[in-house]
Amino acid sequence: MSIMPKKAFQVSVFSTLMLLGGLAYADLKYPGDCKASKIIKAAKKGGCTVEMGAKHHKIKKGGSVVTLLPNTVKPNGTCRSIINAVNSQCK
Amino acid sequence: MELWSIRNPLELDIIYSTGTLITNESLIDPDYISAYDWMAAELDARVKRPYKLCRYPVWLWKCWDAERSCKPDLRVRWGRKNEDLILLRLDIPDNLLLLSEFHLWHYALNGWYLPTNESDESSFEEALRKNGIDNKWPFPEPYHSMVVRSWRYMFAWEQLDSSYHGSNLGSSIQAVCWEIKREWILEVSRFRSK
Repeated sequence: MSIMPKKAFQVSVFSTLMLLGGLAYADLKYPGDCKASKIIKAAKKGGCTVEMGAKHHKIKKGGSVVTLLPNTVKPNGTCRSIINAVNSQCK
Repeated sequence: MELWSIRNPLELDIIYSTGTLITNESLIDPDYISAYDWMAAELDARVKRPYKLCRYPVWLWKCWDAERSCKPDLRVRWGRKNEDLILLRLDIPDNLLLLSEFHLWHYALNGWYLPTNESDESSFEEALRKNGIDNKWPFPEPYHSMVVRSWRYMFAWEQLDSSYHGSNLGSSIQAVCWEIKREWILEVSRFRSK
């Protein structure tokens, strides 16, 4: 019986997971992804939770706040910083 | 100056019964209290509190979104689903107001440094890196003071580099003041949040 080397096994499992579920972390791009719905979707995919509010939505990871997201997002410096925060912490 | 504010029906009752509405500080999210404290101090430096009870300002819209409508669009979500809300159209004396750029306000809410341009942002991040400091609120001095000082650009957004901050800078303008007086109300519209 052939035994798959540990490294090859890990690569294989990772590849399978990638094929089944896509990237398990937020991979937002600025400015194309400056939309609240896209940021929320990516944050959830990366394991963050989202609390919907009146003017803002709160994105959290493990009880800590990642960012406050305005409900209307525009391609600006604020969006760039929000994307950086979500990409680096929602994974 | 013409402004709008979205309130709940109970707050409208308070305005009609007492003649004024101030912010109930127990409703402020504790995660953002330092940003609200900062905004309150900035307003107090320009407009003195009318009563000691006014610890935090009241939030208003000067222009919700100049690219769509300065009046808040009631077709978007403003509260809990199906929540009964009120849109007030107000006329408030200019000298009682402090205007700021709504999107830039998120730098204060998030405890982030508000750079003037890309190179300013890189310099700040490099200084943190060199000193082994995480780019995360709360910052030690002197970075804490640098971060808090940077937020003042939300009042002077035209001084920021639009190639970094976006050409839409200034399209969403919020305002704060210490209270909403009954005599400032021009129009009351009731609506249900989407």
